[in-house]
Amino acid sequence: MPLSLTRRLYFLGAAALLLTGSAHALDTSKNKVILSLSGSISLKNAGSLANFDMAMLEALPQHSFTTKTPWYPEPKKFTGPLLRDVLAAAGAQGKTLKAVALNNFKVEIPAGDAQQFGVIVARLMNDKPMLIRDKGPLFIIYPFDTLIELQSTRYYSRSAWQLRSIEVQ
Amino acid sequence: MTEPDPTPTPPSGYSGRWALVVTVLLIAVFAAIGWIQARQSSQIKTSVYYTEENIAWVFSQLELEFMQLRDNLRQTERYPQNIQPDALRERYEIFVSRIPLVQPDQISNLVEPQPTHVHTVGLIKKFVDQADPFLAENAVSALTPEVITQLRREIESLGDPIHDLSLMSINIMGQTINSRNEAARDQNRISIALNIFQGLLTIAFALLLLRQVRSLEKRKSELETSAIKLREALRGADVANVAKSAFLANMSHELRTPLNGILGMLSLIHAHKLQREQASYLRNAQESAEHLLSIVNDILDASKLESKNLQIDPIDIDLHRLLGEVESLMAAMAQSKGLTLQVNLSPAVPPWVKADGMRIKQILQNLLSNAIKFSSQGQLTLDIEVTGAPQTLTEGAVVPLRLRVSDQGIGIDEATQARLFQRFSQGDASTSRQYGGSGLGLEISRSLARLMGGDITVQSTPNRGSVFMVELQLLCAQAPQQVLAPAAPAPVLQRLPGTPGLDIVVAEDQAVNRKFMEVLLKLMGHQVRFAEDGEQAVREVRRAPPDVVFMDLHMPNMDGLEATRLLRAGADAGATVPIIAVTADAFEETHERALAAGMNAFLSKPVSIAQIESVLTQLFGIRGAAAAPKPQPAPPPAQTA
Repeated sequence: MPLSLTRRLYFLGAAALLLTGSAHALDTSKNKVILSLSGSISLKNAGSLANFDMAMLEALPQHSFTTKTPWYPEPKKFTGPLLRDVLAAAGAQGKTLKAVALNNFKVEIPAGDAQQFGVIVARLMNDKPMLIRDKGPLFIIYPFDTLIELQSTRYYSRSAWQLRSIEVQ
Repeated sequence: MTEPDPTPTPPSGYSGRWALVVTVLLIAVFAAIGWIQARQSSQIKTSVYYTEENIAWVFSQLELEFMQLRDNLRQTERYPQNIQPDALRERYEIFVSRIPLVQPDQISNLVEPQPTHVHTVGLIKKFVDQADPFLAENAVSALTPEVITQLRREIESLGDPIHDLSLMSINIMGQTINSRNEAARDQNRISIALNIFQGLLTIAFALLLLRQVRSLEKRKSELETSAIKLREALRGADVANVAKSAFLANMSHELRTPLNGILGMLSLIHAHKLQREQASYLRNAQESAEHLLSIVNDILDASKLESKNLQIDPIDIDLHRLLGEVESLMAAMAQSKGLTLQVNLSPAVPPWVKADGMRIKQILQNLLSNAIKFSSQGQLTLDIEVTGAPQTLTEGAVVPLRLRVSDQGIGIDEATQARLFQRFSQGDASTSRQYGGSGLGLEISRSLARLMGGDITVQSTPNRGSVFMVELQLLCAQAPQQVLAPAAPAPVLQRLPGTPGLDIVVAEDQAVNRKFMEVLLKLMGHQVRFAEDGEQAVREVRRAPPDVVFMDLHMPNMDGLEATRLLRAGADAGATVPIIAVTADAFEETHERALAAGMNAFLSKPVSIAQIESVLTQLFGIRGAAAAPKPQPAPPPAQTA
């Protein structure tokens, strides 16, 4: 895998995102862009942006977990790439991630969260794609059930739904 | 003396109850605080996500998305050529995504949903049902200008209700914040009240503790005071006891002098021819006096023991001879009651030991005379043996001796055995009346045995007899090179008739003793002059030097020791005249002091003719003996040391 080296480095490294500077190019999105990364990124495919369509996100290693959330009465299964893999795919380097939703809702996420917790960019809920009306198509989800400290307003508010773009700072 | 506190316990019980009440109240307060905190924490938890502020945000977001969608529809209606179906559908979807968040049940935990709320949500849903076929993400129906116009009209009618809903949410927010603040204020008030109450309780507790501590301190000081008083009383009792012992010792000592006088005089009467009746009276008088003397001696010993003034003076003694003396004395006593005395002396017992012979004799005589006293028939046995493994009896070796006195008398029951060795303890009131005695004998004997590093034990069965065992640890001694000839059966020397007797000065303050000495010495054919104290004695000697001086040690004005030192210091005949000390003290120490003062010999009171004769013949040979034709005097009075 072209990302294995950077991933390994991430595992070895600090909270700050490291960039290997390797020449792996980011594919150009072929279908509708659903996520755009901007700001401090080194791998771009559309001007200053790193654009992803659903297929590109699906091509990254997928992770699934079931967790209780404050938005649904029952536990839900979420599937999608790790946030840190998405960031790595764009060669992101920064301390803060500004997540922007379709309705222009913005929330700041410390980049450390992506390393520290297995935060995923969920694209499936209960194995089904999420409609916008169901808080889709992308939903930043923390593995709330793995750590009691995640079950707090701080992390619930960082869980941006209808995610559209991430500005790396 | 202080009156004892009539109610010593109620105060502590009283404060104990109060402490319990305060403790229970404190626990109740803590429980209340815990409950309030738990309630606060649970309130925080329930409002973790849907806080009151969140409601306003959610509803205003709905209105915002509603307006964006409405604007988009208006623009599209006005400029149909610029239609962007994807963007329009996205706006629509975002609007739809907000709808679940404003459902009446989402706020039901905060306020009761109002009918207008339900109605408005119903209108919105109706709109969604109409719009979905055209505006949903996966819609397939075409967005014709007619559809847009139709939808634009529909959405316009939602404007006021949605705005009212938004205002309602702000109202709810205001209300809930208000009620939450009030609840917080209430809880604060309760907390403050509880804190004050808790503070008061703590103060009450502290006061209670303070009171307890004070009462403890008071009690402690009372105890200390009473302890001091007790100590003082004890000291007073000790002082009184010491004074009593000293008085007893002095009195006993003082009693011995006239008693000795009585005994001496009684012994002199024997020399005279008496009628049978008179002789019987005399014997009774003599026995009574001897008994009295033995009691006085016991009291003296007991008081010395108590004041720790009694000393054991171990010297090399011939144990076999001592036992022989005891046997001959006690056998005679036993015989007079129809009893036999059997003495078994183990051959392992060394003849010479280092011991205080007088005290061993005293113990044996006490035990044997008790045995005789409490037996009416049968045999008395005195066994003397060495206990433990046989060993070489070299000088300085420790000899564990056992002296066992057994009788077949009335015996002693267990209760009596337990207090037998205690002071003034006798079998019981009836035996003491029947058998007499000072009641000090066994106590003295045991104390003496213990002073000698041993002990006395008893085994007895009532009516079957008793066994007293004396265990002593004595040191083996070397037989002296020069064996002294036994003193008693020495041939009686007699001064030839016509040989002049001695000129003797007797210094003695007691008239009865002077009389006694005068009778004895005149019987022996000597001339006697008297002095009543040391000064007179010195004057008398210097006036006309005598052959010999009998000097009492205890005299008023100048005692015998002082007088002797004065005479020895002079340059006349007094410096060399033989001086014989006469004293009731039998102490070795007194003996030594007499010799140190320059005296030549030592006689213990009561003196007997035999002792005087022995001393005088040692000093003067035949001249010191009694004159031949004189009648033999009566035997000297029996001595109980």
